[in-house]
Amino acid sequence: MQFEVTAGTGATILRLKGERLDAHNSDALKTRIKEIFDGGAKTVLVNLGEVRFIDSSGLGALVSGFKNAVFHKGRLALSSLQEQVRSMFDLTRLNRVFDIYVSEEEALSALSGK
Amino acid sequence: MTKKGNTLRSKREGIDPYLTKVDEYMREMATARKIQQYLLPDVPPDLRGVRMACCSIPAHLVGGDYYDFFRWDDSSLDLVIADVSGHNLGAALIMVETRSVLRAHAFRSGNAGDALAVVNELLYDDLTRTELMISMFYAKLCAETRLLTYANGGHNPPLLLRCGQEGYIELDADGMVLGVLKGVDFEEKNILLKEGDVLTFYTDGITESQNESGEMFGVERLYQAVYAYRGAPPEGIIDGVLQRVHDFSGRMDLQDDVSLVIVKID
Repeated sequence: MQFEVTAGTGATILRLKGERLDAHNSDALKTRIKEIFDGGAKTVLVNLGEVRFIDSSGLGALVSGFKNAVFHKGRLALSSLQEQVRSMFDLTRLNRVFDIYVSEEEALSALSGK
Repeated sequence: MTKKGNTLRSKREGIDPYLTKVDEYMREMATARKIQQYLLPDVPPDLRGVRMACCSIPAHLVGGDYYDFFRWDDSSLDLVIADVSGHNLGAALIMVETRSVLRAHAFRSGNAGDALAVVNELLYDDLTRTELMISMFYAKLCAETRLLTYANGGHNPPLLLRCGQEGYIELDADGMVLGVLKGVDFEEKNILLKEGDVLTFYTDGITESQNESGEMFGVERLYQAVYAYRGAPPEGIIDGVLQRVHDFSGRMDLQDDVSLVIVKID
């Protein structure tokens, strides 16, 4: 899986370029999010729009990112969840931990306080 | 010795140390697998008026699935099923730690919600350091009254098939996957079971099993399988479900760890 990182208004945007977030690429995502926070970012938006399947390892990587955000007194938000991905957040109740937005635009608008 | 023979021997000597290391690694992993399988009950304890069966199959040599039974007397037990994120050696190590914590503290928790809360508090730091999390469902069954009380830490809700009825009830309760936040309250619910009811506790390796076109087995197919075999003993229901998962995915190896516990009320 490739990661595309861009600076947006109010957040650093991390777009996941691949359909599966699972045990094969979750460690790479953990590392990438950690690097972004270590680099000084305070708010990170993970755009999951391309991801059709996420398993517990993928969720674990995002939870690790959430804890990194807390450690850096920052925020980790998510956007553009497809149905299966959304259902995993509902099942595990992680929907209460993350700020989840319907689209990247909505997320950036909320995160930049507009 | 010819020049070609010398070259082959020298290549072989270069590879041999690596082959030995791979061999050692595989032997150690086989031992780890054996120990992990020993830590899971192969048969559930006897409980008056209830028949049960269980199985766990790791996708690789070791896995992160866990189930257990804590029998208190002839007619009551606690049943837990859990899934550590990932299905590798790290998940297996945390699974063993989870088992120890549960076995040491289960008896102190008067209800299912408290049991999950205690485990969450005790494992939180280790799960944070290891960047793992656990989904866990905890149930307390009294066979005499047929009362099932339960709490859910973000695990796939078990299915209840009522005797003589089509459809299923998902046993869910408010909570949170373990290792994410401290101080989580876990709601406890209860339901009265009846003769002939079938309970299916499972991990996501069943429902997330995929076929060639990427479609998932899902909860509905799991229900259909249990419903089809509901007249069989619990072991027969497990065999029937696993066969359908294999038929669906079109492969005999597993993509994720798979665990199943079937409970039939007599």
